[in-house]
Amino acid sequence: MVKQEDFVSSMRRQVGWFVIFGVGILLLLLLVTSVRTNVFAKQFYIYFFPPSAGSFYEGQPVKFQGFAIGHVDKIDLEEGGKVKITLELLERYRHMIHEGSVAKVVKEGLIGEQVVEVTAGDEKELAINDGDVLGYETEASFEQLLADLKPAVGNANVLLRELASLAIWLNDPYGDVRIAMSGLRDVTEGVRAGKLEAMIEQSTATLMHLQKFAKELNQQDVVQGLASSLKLMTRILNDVRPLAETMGKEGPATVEHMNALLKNVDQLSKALNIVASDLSELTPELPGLARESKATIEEINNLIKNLQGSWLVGGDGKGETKDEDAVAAPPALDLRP
Amino acid sequence: MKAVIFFCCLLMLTACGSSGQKDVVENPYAERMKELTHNGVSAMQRERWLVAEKLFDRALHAAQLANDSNLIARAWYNLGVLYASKGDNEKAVAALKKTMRVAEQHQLEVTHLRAKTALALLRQKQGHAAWRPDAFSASMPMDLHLSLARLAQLQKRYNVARREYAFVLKKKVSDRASVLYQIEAHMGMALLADQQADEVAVKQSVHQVLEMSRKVGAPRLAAHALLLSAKWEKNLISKDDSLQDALVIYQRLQDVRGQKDVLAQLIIVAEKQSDQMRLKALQEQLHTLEIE
Repeated sequence: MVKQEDFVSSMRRQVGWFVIFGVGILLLLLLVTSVRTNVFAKQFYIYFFPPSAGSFYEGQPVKFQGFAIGHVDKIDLEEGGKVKITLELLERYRHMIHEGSVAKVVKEGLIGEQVVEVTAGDEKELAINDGDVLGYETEASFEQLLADLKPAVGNANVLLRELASLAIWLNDPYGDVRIAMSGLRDVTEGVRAGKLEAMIEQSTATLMHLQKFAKELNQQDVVQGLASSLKLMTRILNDVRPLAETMGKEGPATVEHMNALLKNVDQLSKALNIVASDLSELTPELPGLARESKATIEEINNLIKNLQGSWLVGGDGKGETKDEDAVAAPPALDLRP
Repeated sequence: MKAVIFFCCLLMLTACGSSGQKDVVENPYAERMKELTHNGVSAMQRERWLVAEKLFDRALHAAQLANDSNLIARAWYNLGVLYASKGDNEKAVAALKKTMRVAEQHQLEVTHLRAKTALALLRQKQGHAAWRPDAFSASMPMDLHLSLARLAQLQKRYNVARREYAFVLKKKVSDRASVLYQIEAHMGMALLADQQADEVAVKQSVHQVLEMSRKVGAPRLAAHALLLSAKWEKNLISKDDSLQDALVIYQRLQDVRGQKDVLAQLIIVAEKQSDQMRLKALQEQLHTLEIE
């Protein structure tokens, strides 16, 4: 009888310990989870007013110096069409964020997620308080840059088509280029053919590289547009290649057509300049390539200018002097009525 | 004989070919500076101030690494003009003074004149006494003549302003930057005609601004021209149309001052048309802008 009672009390003790241990483990897990997920951490709220809610969503991470310190809590459309974004941030980071801090949308990597970043502000100032309003700073985002790139790509397409038609005209064996200049074959042989051919080879290779790189970014519509432009350009340069082989032998065409070609190369060079400028914030490699192709086109341009200035095609042998002052910024006139 | 002629031709052709070649040795920092400046000017023409500032700043670094006084002065000038365009007058004055110092030390006449004129324009706009040049040599670049014209206009020296605007308009131009200068000259002429209440001249100049803006893309100048043309338009419907067009452009450019100017004019039109509902809506729109 005694033994049975001992057995029961021992079982009760074991069950008791088991339950206590189990509950303890559960509490410990809950504690660890809550510490790691900041569920019970003290939080505070700040606000900012961007011009549009387009780049935000509820739950969007908020980062400070690359660390997640909270998330977007609410997005409200207020009276007068103002967009109000409420950020819920961890209290323990509040002392690091000072007055003068601003919120901005940044992208984690080239095609990464958009997050809200809060800057440190002026460290000499006091830390921000719960309910403070931050300034909002817009940064040239990938989408904005691509949107600005669209017209440049469009222009490049038009110019490239013009170049294509010029290439066809220049390569026409019965065209006036071949007929008018056939007599100059002996005189000009070997003078320029090598250089022009080498440059067009170099340009083609550069553009093929650029095209390959653009293809890697084919998730973006605009980059696809750029890729198709570059494809077209490569094709044109391939069309121009036979011309390069014979240009030195047969000499340049009439002044009128040479002017047209020169104008188009000039415009193409400018379009590439804009592309290089807009892409400079996206990736260091792409603008570098665009710059290379621009430099090559400028070299072709110079060469054509030299050919144009040659006494053989009616020029005086002197190239147009470049105005160094042309790179000065336009004056701030403010001609508002 | 044939061989001699062939040899002579070949010799002359080689000479022609080499005359236009660039120096083989180039300073990569100087080249980089020129390229960055070119891109910066292009960004500035599209009112991409943030991008332009970054590019001009990097151009200054490249110019300093190239250790070329001419390029350093030009880089400081570009930054100064950019700050002036953005309305950051304190930084603009500092950068332009720096330009003048460098240009003076190294006798860079054009850059010195540019900086001095830009500084005078800035001071005149702020209501301070400023330098009053009478004329620049005809060989000076277009933008200097244009700046002088605007400066003279602000100083109420209308004859000098008209002469300089006319000088800019007489130039034969082919590149976009020069066409933009001519559009500004037409706009300056329109403002001069407006000050002298010459309706015909205002309309002619405004027409030129709008035509040329459509060709090369100068939305802010087009909006200014539409606003000015509306002022002289007697027909209320045409006036309203011009103002609406100007308002849309100012809205797209996020130009609050322009929007306010247009709304004030539209309110007058609505009052004349006794359109109470529209009047109320326009007043509310203006009120919202003023609060912002």
